[in-house]
Parts: sequence; structure tokens; C-alpha cells
Amino acid sequence: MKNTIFFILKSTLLLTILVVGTNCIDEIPLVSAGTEFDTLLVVEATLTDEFKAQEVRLSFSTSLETEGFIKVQNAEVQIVDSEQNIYVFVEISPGVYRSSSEFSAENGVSYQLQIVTSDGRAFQSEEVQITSTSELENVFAERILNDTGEDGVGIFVNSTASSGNPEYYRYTYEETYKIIAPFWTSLEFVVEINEFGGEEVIVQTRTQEERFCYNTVASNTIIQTRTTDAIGNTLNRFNVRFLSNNNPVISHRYSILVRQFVQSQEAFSYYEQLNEFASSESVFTNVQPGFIESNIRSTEKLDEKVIGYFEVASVREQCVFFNYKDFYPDEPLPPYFISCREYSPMPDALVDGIQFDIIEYTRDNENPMGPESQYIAVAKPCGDCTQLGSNIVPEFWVEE
Amino acid sequence: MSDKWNCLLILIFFFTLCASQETISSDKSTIPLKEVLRSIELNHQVTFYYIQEWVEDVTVDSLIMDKDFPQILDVLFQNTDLNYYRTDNKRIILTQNSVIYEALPDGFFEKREHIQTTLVPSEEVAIPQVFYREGISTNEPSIQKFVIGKASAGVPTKEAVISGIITNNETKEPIPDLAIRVRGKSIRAVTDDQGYYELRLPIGVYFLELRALGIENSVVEAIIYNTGTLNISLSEGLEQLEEVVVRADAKKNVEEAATGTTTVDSEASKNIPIVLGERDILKIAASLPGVTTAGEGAAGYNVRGGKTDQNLFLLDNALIYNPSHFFGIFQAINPFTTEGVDIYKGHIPASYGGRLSSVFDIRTKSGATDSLRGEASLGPVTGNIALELPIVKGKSSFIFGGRGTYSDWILRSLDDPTLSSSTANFFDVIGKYEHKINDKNTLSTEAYYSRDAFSITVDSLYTYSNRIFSLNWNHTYKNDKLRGDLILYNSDYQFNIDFDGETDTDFVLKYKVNESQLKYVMKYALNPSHALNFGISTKFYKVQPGSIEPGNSDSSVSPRTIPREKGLESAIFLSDAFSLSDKFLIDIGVRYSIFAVLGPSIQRSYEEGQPRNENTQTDTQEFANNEIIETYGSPEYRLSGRYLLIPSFSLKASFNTGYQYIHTLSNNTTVSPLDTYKLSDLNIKPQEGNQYALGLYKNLEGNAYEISLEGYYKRYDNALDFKTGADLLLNENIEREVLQGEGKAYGIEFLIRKNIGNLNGWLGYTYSRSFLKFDSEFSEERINNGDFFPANYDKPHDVSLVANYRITRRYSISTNFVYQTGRPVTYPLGTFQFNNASFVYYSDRNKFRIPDYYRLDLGINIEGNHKLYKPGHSFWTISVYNVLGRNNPYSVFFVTDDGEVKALQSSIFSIPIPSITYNFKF
Repeated sequence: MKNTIFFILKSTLLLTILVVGTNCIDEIPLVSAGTEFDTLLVVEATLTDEFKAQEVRLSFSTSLETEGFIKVQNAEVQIVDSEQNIYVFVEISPGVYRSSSEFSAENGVSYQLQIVTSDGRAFQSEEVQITSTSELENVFAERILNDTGEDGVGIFVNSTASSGNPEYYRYTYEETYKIIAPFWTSLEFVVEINEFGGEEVIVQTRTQEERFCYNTVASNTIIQTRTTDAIGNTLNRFNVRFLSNNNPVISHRYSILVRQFVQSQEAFSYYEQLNEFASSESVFTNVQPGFIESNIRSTEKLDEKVIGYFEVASVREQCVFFNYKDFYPDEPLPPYFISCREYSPMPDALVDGIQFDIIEYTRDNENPMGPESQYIAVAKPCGDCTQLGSNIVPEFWVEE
Repeated sequence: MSDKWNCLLILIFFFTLCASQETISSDKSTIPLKEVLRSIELNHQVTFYYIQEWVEDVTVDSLIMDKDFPQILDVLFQNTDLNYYRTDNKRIILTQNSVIYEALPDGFFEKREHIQTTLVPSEEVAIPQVFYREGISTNEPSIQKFVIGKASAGVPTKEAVISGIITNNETKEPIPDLAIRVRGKSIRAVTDDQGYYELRLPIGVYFLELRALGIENSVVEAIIYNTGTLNISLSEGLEQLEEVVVRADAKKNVEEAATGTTTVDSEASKNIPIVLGERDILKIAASLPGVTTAGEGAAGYNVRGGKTDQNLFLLDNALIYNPSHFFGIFQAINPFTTEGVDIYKGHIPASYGGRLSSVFDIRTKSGATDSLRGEASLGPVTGNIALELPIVKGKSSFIFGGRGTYSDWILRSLDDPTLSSSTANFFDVIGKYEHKINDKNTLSTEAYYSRDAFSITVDSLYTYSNRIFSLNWNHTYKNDKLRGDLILYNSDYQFNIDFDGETDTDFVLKYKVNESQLKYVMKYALNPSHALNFGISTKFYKVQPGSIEPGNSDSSVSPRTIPREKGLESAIFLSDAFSLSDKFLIDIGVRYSIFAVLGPSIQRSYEEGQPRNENTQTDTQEFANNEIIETYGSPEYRLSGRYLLIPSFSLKASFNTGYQYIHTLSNNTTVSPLDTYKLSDLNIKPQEGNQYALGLYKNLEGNAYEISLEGYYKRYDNALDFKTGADLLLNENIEREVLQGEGKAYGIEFLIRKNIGNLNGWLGYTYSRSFLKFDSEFSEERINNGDFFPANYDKPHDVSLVANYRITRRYSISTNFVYQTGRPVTYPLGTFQFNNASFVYYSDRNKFRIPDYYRLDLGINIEGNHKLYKPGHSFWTISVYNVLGRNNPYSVFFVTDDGEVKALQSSIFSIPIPSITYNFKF
């Protein structure tokens, strides 16, 4: 009896912890709660102090169930500054508008974004100017244990505010990494039609670079910080990105271009809320979400909602390169992007695999067992890196 | 003097004014009372009932004999310790008033009505002779036997009047509300506040059954020859009457003047199944109409559509900021040391103030003064022990309670690394020393501390704690009608966030609020129709809104402290419970509260008619230490009335207003332990509110059933909310982030409750709505276009059923069923692409609702055996929470993960949670 009770007690304890501690959040289908749905204009526009053709992206929101997004085409887009200069934007690809002339945002000048959609709806932003000039001191990489105890490489930023005031920063990055296909050989499969009209698999020398590739990925998270809590007005060791040592992107050589935008407090707050509402939360603390007010409004209908923010920001960027060996000199590489296992396909499967472009030659099968073919193959990305990146070396790329 | 009062009071009470013109004459200067009585008996054909020794050696002024009958009675006993009671024209019962009417307790006049004397129609009763045969008693063991009155040799008396005092054998105190039933007869009596009872019955041999809450049921054998006194002293029962869940002072429901009051008794609620076997009077309060929580994991209670910061939680008169452990899943009050809680959700007495919606007056037990007692329990999450230690026998005692979790030990023994390195623990301790200095003075002092620590992520540790010291001095003034209570306390609430990550952003963030109050409340029983309650109070607040310090020497976090806030809240109050007639009782109260915002402080001013932000700031003013920055003061009205339509059916109405000078800042949809409190200042105005309530109250079958139907309408203003995405922690310019708006709530509450019997419990249904409104001409200060929108805790339909069924003396089962409309949520309307990722955009605030909530809990209580001689009493509680395994959603939220939008639903207890608790009491 006593043992039974103890067992119940113990099971209950465990159960309690499991329930209270973890299994409280389930993913549910994303469906609309009601029928109400408006197509709202979404504006992505950050005018920078870099002298270049500036860019504005326009799209429409969609219902929760819809996949993909509708680009806003044939809109009239222009930026007017306080000195009466008008910068006209032209659509270079669906939804992407680029200024027809190169220009940069100047200190002390305010800018207004004006949009007229093809159905005649007109929008304009508040007048915005640069808050202060961005100063990016240093971007560097360091091997760390992150806050959850994972081993990896952290990308850090040191920065000094140019003004005496607290500053608000937003970061974006573009990371480029080298891929080396682990099962690359100089040979590849080709299916030829033999003289009898049958399909025949042969092996030939590769026709293009498929061993070393490069892939570039832009950040898709909102990364922000502010100097108010830091000593003086400097930003010390702000962690922009963390790459776990299991992340295949750092397997060989990796570069990251960090862009630092100095935001106004309002712009910072817009992005911060967007991020807060979209971040995973603890079960016990639910942030009250709501519609985030944009600085862009309809010129006719005051209550028409617009998503996005027209921002004028000073931006500085810096790039950092490192090799896996710099931080992990004698340690095994991170796992590859996919798991690679050599096998010998059946002859039919071999032909299909080649034609569907999903397998890659590694070596000959010296002792085919039963119906096996005479070749050993792996999944395509393991032997051909163009599946995961481009074989063209980026212009900025520097090998040590 | 006081005797004269007593006579008068008795006269008024019993309506014994008669009109007789006869005069009694005498010429001696003093005569024995005995003779006067005899003379009256002869001349007026009346009989006095009394005990000889009461009148031995008592003399009265012979001039008395000039008075008419019955007026003579009024003066006759003036200088004696006797009172009289005329039951009809023939019988006058004398009682020794020093026992019965020494003090005039509160509610004396109402309580006196509870004495029920059943008269047997005398003409139908044959005059019996009492022949008592020794030995043929009953099967009942150890029955006490009493012989009352003298057997008269002549013509026997038809009927005897038995009266006396029933006292508690251990404490020597009188036992009120004890029921005396004469076995085999429909004759009953109930003792009053002083333990006094009266029974009239034909002479004979009877078995009297005596029952009262907390007293061992007993039977005595009474051999009645004649009128006489029967004083009995009884032992305390080992068992409380478990079925009485919500203590009902018999007719309190119908008779008191206040609307919307409830009492939950801690001991009696032990059977109700509660998650993880923790007894929780606050959770039980939430199953009664009018009190709700936003959800299972939400600390904080919403009372009649009020916000969670509008409740005054008092632990023995001292304010407690956070009465919950672990996000509201457990109460932070030790159930073993707690007597119960009185909840005022409608009419709030004038002596309470500073919160708009309700008062939760939690009372700690007084420790036993005779012998050591204790209670202990072992549950799945906590262990608890309470001890009552007598210090000076009969005078003073110390009660101690301590409770803690062993969840950390369990977490550490788990294999999962994230779980084993996380922490979640809490404990609370309470100690109270009570000393009865003399009959007029009682002093008690108390200390309380509770602490919670938990980590949501590995690198951060959150802790919060409550600390209270209090001193209560209760004094009865010379004339016994004036009583004073002096209350002095200091209450402190703080939380810390300790962040110790791998990057150099380690910090320690601290928040603290501390208040001290001195209050003096006096109760004055002016006369039978007026009971006054008045006093003063003053409270000093110190808020340290936050400081951040680097967590270690490598941290790049710069230390920063938000300046302290200070305030002084004082009040003067007076109320009068005034009975206009037997049927009509009103309670009129007024309270004047004044709040002074004190320096040192820097206050900012903003352009009139502009949203408050950096650009509209016009000026900053600096204030010196203790300089008054601003004062807010207003009268508050507390009116309530009751009209008895028939004795068991009443109509009540109330109107209450109030002010509140402290606000909670929270940008969560539900209360979390890390919410901060903010005092009103130059820019943040006090909250104000009013409530109208109207109700009907009916008791059935001799108060076995209580039915009430109560409606309310409530408005409040200057409730705080915040602009979307506000930053509330460590913000010096809070006024730029918050909005002040209106609230509106109305509802109707129905409750039927059965307090006694093997099957007992209650069924409640509430229909209620609560709305908020934030309007401004500026879009940034407007929510939902400035219209009223449902509050987070707006749950229109709420049904709760609590039922206990006692199968045998040892086994009982209980069940708990709750149904509530799902709470409102803000749901997304669509998705969009931004910054290379997908996001959702949201509807107007609280436009949608999560699915309805329902839950069934079951529990079984197994009592230890009821052997008479054993060291203690034990019982097991086995319960299953959420038997149906309903996955009640707590919230629905949407995250962007790797550029994709995902919908997530959280729930707290989504599967049945069994638990078993062992309790031991000695």
C-alpha cells in the first residue's frame, strides 16, 4: 500500500512538472477568426545616407489562409524633400521601385514618401529626417557559449553614438558562406540513349564547378538595440548573430556584412512592436498585441490602415570573415546541410534519380549485390554544391 | 447606569410594555425582594421563576411598592443583578443579568432573535408525575445526567422552564448557536452569543441533544421536576462539520445591510478539489459569482468587472500586494493558519478604502491557548505545517505556519537538461502572537513572508516576495459600548530579475513598493438603532520603480535608478448602521480620503490638449524632499440598505463610490508577478469609481438553503492602460506610455447554496459584461476608435457548481464544475511580408474570443478512524483536476519563426491532473 502511494505520488510529481514546465504550447492551424479582411498597403522604405539608387517595396497584405503575397504594381512612387526636390521612383520588378537618379538622405533635410496606387488611392508619410549619423566601430566574431549554453560563434558589434543622446539601432545582415560538397568527384552521371533506343547510364567529367559554391542569405529577423542601458553612449559587444557550431554555414569560410541603421525613437518603436508581437513568449506573459500605427496614411480616408514605416536613416556597414578552423582548429566540421549516405540504387531507380536530378555519382560499385547497379550514389547536394549555392565567387570574397 | 440601560433595552426588545393600573402599597423602608415577589404573585396572579439563591439576602426600597404593576417590575430589579422576562401575563422569568447582559456585543439585537423557545400548548399536556427509575437509562455511553428543580410533593407544576449557559469545556467560553433538541419532542432552543438558552417543557425525563459547529455532539439526560437552571459544559469536537463550506451565519444572507458580501471558511473548504491538492480559499472565492480570474495561469482577480489592481487584499488588516504563488496557481496564504476570508464586492464598509472593486479580508486563526495543536500535510508539490503554541495558558498563544515546495528537488532529479537546470520554488511563513491582556485589551502581532523564485530561461532568475509586519491592539472602553482597534503595519513587495547570460549584458533589476499604515477604528453601539463605526487612517507609500545594476564586473550594463516615488494617503470615515424599523436597516457611510504626492521628484508638464511625448513636454519641475507636489482628495459615499419583506426574504440596495491612488502597470494581457505599481502623480490621476447594486435574498427551510439574486452596475474612470508596445519597466516618463480611460461593468449574479446536510454546496450563475474605453482626439491615445471594448476578463456566462456528498462519516466525495465563456483576444486579420519575413497584423483590441472554458474536478476525502483515544486525526484527499482532460486554451498567439507565421495555443492544465495529499492534525 505504501509503495503504491509513493508511486502515485512520484508519478504525480513528474506529471506536474511536465505539465507546468513544458507541454503547454501547441501549434494550431492558422485560420481567420472572422470573415473581415481588408487588403492593406504594406510599405518597406528605408531611405539611407548612402549615395545610391534608393529602393521602396510595396505589397498588399493577404488573408491568413493565402500563401504568397501580392505585389503592388504600377504605382506612382516619389520622395519629396523639404528643399522641394522630387525623386521619382520607377518599378524595376513587380513591387520593387527604384529611384531614377542616385541620391542620399542629407542631415537637416526632411523627406516625405508619396504613393498613388494604380486604383487611385493616395498615401503619404509624415516628414522624416535623419536623427543622427551612424558610427560603426567594429564588427567581430568570437567563439562563445550562448545564453542557452550552446557552443558557437557570435558576431558582435561595438559602436559609439555620434550625438550625446541615447541612440536606437537596427541591424540587418547579409551572410555569405562557402560550401564544399563533401562527396564531390570530378565525375558525374549522364543518361544516354543507346543505339537500341534504350537508356544507359554513363559517367563523364563534370562540365562546371560544382565543388566550391557560395550562398548569400539576407537576415529575416528584426535585430535592435539601444545605447540607453549601456555605459556612456557606446555600444559594447552587441550580439547581432549567433551561429551554433552545428550550423553548416560556418563549416569552411564565412562572411557577414552587418549594416547598422540609426533609428528615430518612433521607427525603433515600430519595429520593436512588430518584433514583440511576433516573438515566442512565455505561457504566463502574454503581450497585448494591437494594430501598430504607421507613419504613412491615406490622404483621403483617415481611418484607412497602412502597414510599414517610412524611415530615413544613417547607415554604416562592415564585413567580417572567418574560417571554421580559426575557432575550432582540431574539431570535426559541423554536419552537412543534409545527411549524406552512399548507396547503390537499382538500375531503374538510378535512371530516374539522374533524370530527376536528385542523385550524384560517387564511385563504382565493385561488388553489386543482387539487383544493384554498378554505381554508388548520394543525394545530389552532397556531391553538387550548386544545389545549395552559386558556383560564382562573389566579388567581395577574399580567401585568407 | 448600565443596568438601567439593560432594562430599557430588554423592554424595547421584548415589547413587554403592558398597561395595568393596579398599585401595590407598602410602608416599610426596605423589604426582602422575596417578599415583594411573593406579594406580586399573590396580588396579580403571576408566577416568578427564579432560583432561590438569587434572591436570598436581596432587599429593595419599600417605596417601590407604590408603583403600579407591571411598571414596578422595571424598577424592582434596578439595583439587583436580576432581569425579568414576561412570557405572557402569567409568567415572569428572572435571570441573572450579569451573566447574560454584561456586554453588548455587535449585532446583539439581531442575534437575540435567534433564541427560539418552543412552547408546548399547556392545556393539552397532562400533568405528569416524575418517576425516575435508576438504571434503565439508554444504550448511549457516558451520558451525563442532571436533575433539575425540586420534586414538589403537592400539585406538580405543569411546565418547567429550563435555562442555562452552555460553555466550552476547554476554553470556558460560552458556545453560541448551539442547537438543543429534546429527543422525541418538537421542542428546540438555540443558544445566543452568550451561550444562554431557555427551554420550556413539561416536567419529565428527557434526552437533550446538543449540537454546534466545532463541538462534539452530545446527549444529556435531564430529569426535570421543576423550573431550574441547567448549565452544561461540552468538549470540542474532533471534527469540524465538513459540509459547511461557506459559513453562513444562519440568516446573515438575508439580514445584513450590505450587498455583495461572501465569506469563505478555510477549514470547511478542505474538501473542494483544487489543482494539485492545495487548499485555496481564493480559488474557491473565484467559484462564487462576481469573482473571476482571466485564466488558470493568471494571478489577480477581477471582481465584478473591475481591474485586477482594484482589489484590497488584507491579511489581518495589513495589505498584501501579491497573495499568489506561481502565477496564481497557488495562494500565498497558508490554509492551515487561515480562518477564512470575507469578501466585499458590492457594498464596501467606509473603514476600507484605497481600492475600487473589492476587499478580501483574510483572517488568521487565533492560536489555541490551552494545549499544543498542529496540522501538517504532504501534497504533490508542497509540504505544510502549522502549530498553535499556548504561551500563557488561557491568555496568549503563538500560531506558526510554514509551507514550501520541493519542486526544485524534483526538477534537479530529472534527466532533461533544460528542466533540471531550471527552477521554480516558493515558500511562505507566518507567525502570529496574540495576547489577551485582560477582558478589555487584546494585543496581537504578526509577521508574514512569502517568496517565489522561478526561471523561464536558463540564464534569468525571477524572484518576488511579500513581507508584512503588523500590530493590532483591541481595546474595549469602560462603558463597554465603545471599542477601538489600532492597526499598525508595514507591507513590502519586491521583485528582482537576475540575468546571467553568456554575453556581457548581465544585470540585476530591482523593483520595490513599501507601505506603512496606522489606522484607528472605533465601534460605538450608541443605542439599539444606531451602531457607529468611525476612525482615521494614514498610509505612507514608498515606491522604488526600478534600478538596474551590472550583474558582474564584466557587464557593460550601466547602473541606473529610476527616482523613488512617495505618497501619503489619509482618510477619515464614519458610518452608521441605522435600523429605521424592524424591517428597514440602512448603513450610511462616508469617507474622505486625501492623497498627497510627495517629493523629491522631477515632474514633467506637457502641452494641454496634446498627446504626451518628448515633443509636447513643456516644462520640468523639481520638488524637494517631502514637498507636496499635488494633492487629490474627495468624499466617498458608502450607502446600503435592507428591507425585510418577510423575515426570511429581503431586498437590499447599495450605492458606493471610491478613489484609488495606486495603479498597476502591466503590458501583459494577464497579471504577472512582475507587474509594477505606480502612484498617482502630477500627470497620472487617481482612479475613481461607483457601483449600484440591487438584490433579493431568501432563505428556505430554516436557513438550510440560501438563495440570492443580485444585479450591479459599475462605472470607473482613469483606469490605466498603455499605448501599444509601451515600455513600462525602468521608464522615467511613464506618463508618456500610459492612457487613462473609463470602465463600465454590469451583471446579474444568482446563487443557491445549501450549507448543511450530507449533500451540500452551491450552484452559481453569473451574467456579466465588462468594458473599457480609451478615447482621445489623437490616434496614438485611442484604442478601438475610442469605443467601449470588452476587457480581457469579460466572460459573459459563468456557471459554477460545487457539491460535497458525505457517504459515511469517513468517506465523502466532492465535485467542482466550471463553465465560462472564452475570454476575449486580439486575433490577426491577415499576414504581410516585411523585412524578408511574414508577420500578422491584428484586429481591434479584443474583438474575438478563445473557445469556451469548462472543467470538471473530482475529489474523495478519506478520514482516519474516529477512535476516541488516538494521538491525532488524519485524512487523505485524492483529487483529479480537469477530469475531462479538456484542453482549455489559455491564450492564442502568433509568432514569426524563421520568416514564417505560426499560430500557437497555450494551455495550462490540458490533461487530468491527479493528486493525493495526506493531512494530519493533532
